[in-house]
Amino acid sequence: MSDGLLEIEDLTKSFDGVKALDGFSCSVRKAEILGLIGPNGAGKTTLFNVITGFLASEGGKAMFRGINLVGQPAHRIARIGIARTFQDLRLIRQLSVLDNVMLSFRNQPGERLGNLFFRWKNTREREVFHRKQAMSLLEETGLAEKASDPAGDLSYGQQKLLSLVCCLAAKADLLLLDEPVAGIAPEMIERILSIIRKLPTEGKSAILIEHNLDAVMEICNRVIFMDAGAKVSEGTPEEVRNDPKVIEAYLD
Amino acid sequence: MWQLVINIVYSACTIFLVAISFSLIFSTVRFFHFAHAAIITFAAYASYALSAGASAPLPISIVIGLLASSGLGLCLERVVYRPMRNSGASLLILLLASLGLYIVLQNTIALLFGNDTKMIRGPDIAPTVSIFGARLTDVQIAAIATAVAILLAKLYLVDKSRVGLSLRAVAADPELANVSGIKFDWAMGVAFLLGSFLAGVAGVFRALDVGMTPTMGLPMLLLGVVAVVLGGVGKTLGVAIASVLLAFFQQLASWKLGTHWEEAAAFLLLLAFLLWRPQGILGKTLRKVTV
Amino acid sequence: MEYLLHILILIGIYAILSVSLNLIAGYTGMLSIAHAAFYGVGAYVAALMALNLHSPFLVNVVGAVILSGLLGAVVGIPSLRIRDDYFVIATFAFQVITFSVLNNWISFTGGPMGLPGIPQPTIFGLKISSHLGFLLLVGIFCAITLWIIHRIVRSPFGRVLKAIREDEVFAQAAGKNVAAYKVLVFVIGAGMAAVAGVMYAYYISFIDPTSFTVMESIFIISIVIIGGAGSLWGPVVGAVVLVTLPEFLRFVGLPSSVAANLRQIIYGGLLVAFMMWRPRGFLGEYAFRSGEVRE
Repeated sequence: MSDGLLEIEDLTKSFDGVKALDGFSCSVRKAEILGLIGPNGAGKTTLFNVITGFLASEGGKAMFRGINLVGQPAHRIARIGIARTFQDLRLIRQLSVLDNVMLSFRNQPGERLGNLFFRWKNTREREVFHRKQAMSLLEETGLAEKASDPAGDLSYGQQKLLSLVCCLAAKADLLLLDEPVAGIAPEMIERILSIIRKLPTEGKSAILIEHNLDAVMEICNRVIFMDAGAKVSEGTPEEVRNDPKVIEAYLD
Repeated sequence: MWQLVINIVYSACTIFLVAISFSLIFSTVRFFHFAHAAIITFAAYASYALSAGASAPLPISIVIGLLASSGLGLCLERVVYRPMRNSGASLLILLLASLGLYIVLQNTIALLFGNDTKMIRGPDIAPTVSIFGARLTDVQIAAIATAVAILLAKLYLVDKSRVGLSLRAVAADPELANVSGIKFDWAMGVAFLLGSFLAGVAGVFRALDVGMTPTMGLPMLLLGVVAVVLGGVGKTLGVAIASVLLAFFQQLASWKLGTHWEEAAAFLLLLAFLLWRPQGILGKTLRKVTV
Repeated sequence: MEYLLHILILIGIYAILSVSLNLIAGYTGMLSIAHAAFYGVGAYVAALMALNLHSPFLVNVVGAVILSGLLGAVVGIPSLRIRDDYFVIATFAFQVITFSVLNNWISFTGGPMGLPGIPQPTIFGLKISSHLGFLLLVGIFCAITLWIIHRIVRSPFGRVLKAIREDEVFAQAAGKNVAAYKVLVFVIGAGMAAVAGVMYAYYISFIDPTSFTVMESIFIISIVIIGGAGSLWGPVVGAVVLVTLPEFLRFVGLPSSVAANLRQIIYGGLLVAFMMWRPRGFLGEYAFRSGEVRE
């Protein structure tokens, strides 16, 4: 497993004595989509928060391109190639759809103060370039006509789509998608899944938390079933689906 | 030595009176009600107006003054804060409105009574009592006794009574409290009524002790706020301990650096606490942005 | 005529103060009641340099901006750990401490007696002594401030500030170093407030701590909010309204002691009224929602 993009070993996190992650380990390879399923409270979102630096792990490590993510601040992790969405849809609702995408580009010269006053020509060129890129992303995903609307005015499904577009704008190698298709209309599900499906062809990987098992089974290369902060079963979608431990857990 | 201890005790009691009055309101409504500073001052001036202006007997003037400050507190809640809350105003908007209210009230008092120091009773009567060689005026003894009585009453009566419990339920989770039949607005009203009454008590004691000025409320309130933050919001005992600590720290600063540094010292302590232990001495973790 | 120029100069000074506070509070969402402290530090640094070192005007401006900016960083740091009303209290504390230092460090600041006799400024050999000259000077610095703020808020940098104001977690997940932005914004805002302080010190030629009180801080935040937080021109409009409105009291012929209180009652009342009925102010884009708290 030396081709692993992300190698997670023994991550542990507890809240008020309850273990949300209990020595969790797994790895994500380049250009694969890993499904993460399990009951509510299994620690799936906690895993995302630990990987992305929003929560500190109490032990273990998460190696991404030779860097241990544990202990790194969230913004640095976001810059080295990991993008995420949030279960409860975090977007800047008051800013336009286009601005939300623009915010997601990493490494913009215009975001550094000095450049606004001393290298403004280059800064402006980059801004124009990013704007074009953002528009073409929005066109590809069918959000172009909403570009100047406030993100908060979009429908729930469109907002989920927009957070995925923001991850694409981040040009990250690893996308952590927290319930990208939960609670939205079928045609929007299809639109979002088609974007996720294309990720491996661009050399990108993703971890997908999703309760919609049909979607998981369809687009994931591998699936991990977790419960009580630990891995219960791992394998191809088919193997996990037929694992007696998984069936038992879902019957409970 | 004894005089120093007595000074600290007295100063702790004055801080505690303001702190507990503020805490009562803050732990229920959850925004910084700065106009509370004007309530403190208002009680003193209302008593003064009655005794000096209408020449009513002092005790009656004080009682009416305290009731008036209670009424003013309730009035602010009903006329200003409640409509704002109902239209979904954030805590910061409420805080800014309360700053505006404070400015209006303080300047109205200044306009009516002038900026000079007013004494509520003649300068001739200030009988002092000696305890172990330390001198105290009757007002100071009364203030200490009142503060201790209020601390005990708060600990053993209010905090354990149904009113106290329902106030705390509202503070902990307004939505849940509403579901369990406790009227949210009612709790707010009670908090303002009681809190403003206690603020009035603090203001009147201050006026009796050293006289009153229209701006005396704000420094008093800010010290009380420091004690509340140090002690932990809604923690009666914590606030009491913090008041003593603050009084001690202030005495220390005024002894080592001079009296005029008292205020700066108190606020340095506050900054230190906000940075290293924002939940206070006894409090639990403060709410913060989480994912 | 002098009187009119005087009002315009004051508007210019308050415009610099409110526009710079708007960057902190309106664009980045950090409600601060410490702006008069930076204003005061600027005024005192320039006055002390002019009186003791006899250094030229522009050098004093730079000195004031640097020192005030450093203090801005100190005030900005608590914003990384505490937010909303607790942060307001922290800035309040800083304001009280600064006033206390100005008022009590008598050997250095002159204490309540203040610093008299600040000389008239000379720029490139030109001595500025008339009201018109000062208006020009304030106008230039006001224009520079507005231009810088304009540059910042209409840029990707400003976009990040708004993102931080609305949702810090999103900003972090998008790779923005929220802590650095917050501290930097405080440094910029404090530095600009110091410029206003320098203008004031040279213009009045006498400063004392009573110009830099908590009340002054509340006045500046009122200008920002009534004018409109998070908009470029809102605070300028606010400064025009709040500085000129009380001046009408003069024409009614009230004694100055009454007028002073009435002036405060007017702006306090305006603040309450705006919070009740129009929390966005005249032109505002941002109405101080609390930072999102989620369990």
